[in-house]
Amino acid sequence: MTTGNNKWIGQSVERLEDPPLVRGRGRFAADISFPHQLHMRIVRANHAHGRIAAIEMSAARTVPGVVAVWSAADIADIPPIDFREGRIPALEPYRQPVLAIDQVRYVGEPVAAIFAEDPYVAEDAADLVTLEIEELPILLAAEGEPGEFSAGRNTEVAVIQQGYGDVDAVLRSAPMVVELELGIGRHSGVPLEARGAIGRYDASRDILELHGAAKVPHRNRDLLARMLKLTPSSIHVHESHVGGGFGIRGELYPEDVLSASRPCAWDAR
Amino acid sequence: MIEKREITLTINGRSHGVRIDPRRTLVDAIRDDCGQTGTHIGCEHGVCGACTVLIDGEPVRSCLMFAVQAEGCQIRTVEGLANGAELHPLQQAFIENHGLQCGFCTPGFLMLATGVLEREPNISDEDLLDVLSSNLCRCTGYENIVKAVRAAAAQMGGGR
Repeated sequence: MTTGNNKWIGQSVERLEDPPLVRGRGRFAADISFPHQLHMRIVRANHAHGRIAAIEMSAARTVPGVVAVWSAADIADIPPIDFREGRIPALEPYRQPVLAIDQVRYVGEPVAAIFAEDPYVAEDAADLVTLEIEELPILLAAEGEPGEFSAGRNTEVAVIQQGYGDVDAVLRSAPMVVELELGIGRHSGVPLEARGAIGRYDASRDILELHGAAKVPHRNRDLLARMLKLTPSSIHVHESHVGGGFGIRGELYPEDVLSASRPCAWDAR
Repeated sequence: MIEKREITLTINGRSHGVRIDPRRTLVDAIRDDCGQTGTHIGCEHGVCGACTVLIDGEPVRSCLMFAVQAEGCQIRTVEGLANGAELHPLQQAFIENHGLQCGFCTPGFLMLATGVLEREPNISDEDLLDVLSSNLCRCTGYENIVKAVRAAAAQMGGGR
């Protein structure tokens, strides 16, 4: 082993990315904007499980400055969100629609989208959308009896067992057996920068641009191209500064698909 | 519709004339009307402190204040900390002590710390912890932020 004059190993080194970040010159999702961009706000489910009896959107449509109000019926041509890591046939009936269809399945599920010239106006209009939800039984325990997900399908998608060798034989012959019962709580990453996305259609080049925090831009581009029936080369995904990844960043969420389908700026306020 | 208001916001010594709704938050006006996007919006309800700016020297959550309330005040944001190419001691200390990773909370912490060190350069460790606990950081675990502020305090002439 050589002991050279090493400047880096074992030393505290300064990060190359810090200077713009300490000067307020980062480019996070909400720092990107385009002239005359539209702003999107989402109306979300307040129930963990329920049947959508009615979505009343006419009052929201009359607010000056509102450009469009969508529910699932308005985007029937957009398929559910695929898995970007490849097709998993058993999971396909469980893919999330971009806007809830017939049922809501978690608190916060997007049900309607408002597009307006001003984010405050979009929020005003979102307040005017009323949802009539007939509550359905909810499941709160992962180990509880599965419930109904959709007609003929229950919430237990698959049981996956992995292992090798003859475990029973090993346990029988072990000098001592320690039993532990382990539970893992549901958890999620909570980065400080909320999610956000900016979609921009450049008609002069026939290019759909997406800007904002991303993680795997090429896979997201390909997935969006499949969903929106575009060629991958007609979508450009631009990754900017990311206010924390924590595992949840960069998945393709309903709001990302919406801001690409109706180019607009969205941040999760 | 309520009439828009013409106001002047003074940010880092520079006047910005803006025409805005009375309900517009200060942080939206700073970012979108005055183009100073260094101040960030995290929770938008006063919990995280990412939007902290100095108003007449006091750290303030700019998401909890209306822009019209800040007329006539001296507003300071992260963009005003450095003097040209020369970083403020707090900015330098955050780099040297790894006080940031993703950098989203950093402008808020820098303004919070600037406000407190200018008012109380010899602040005790206990009081400093109390002040810094008003902002949230999800990456660093806070230890290096405390270290960075302590280092900057020493450099800025806090005697102790």
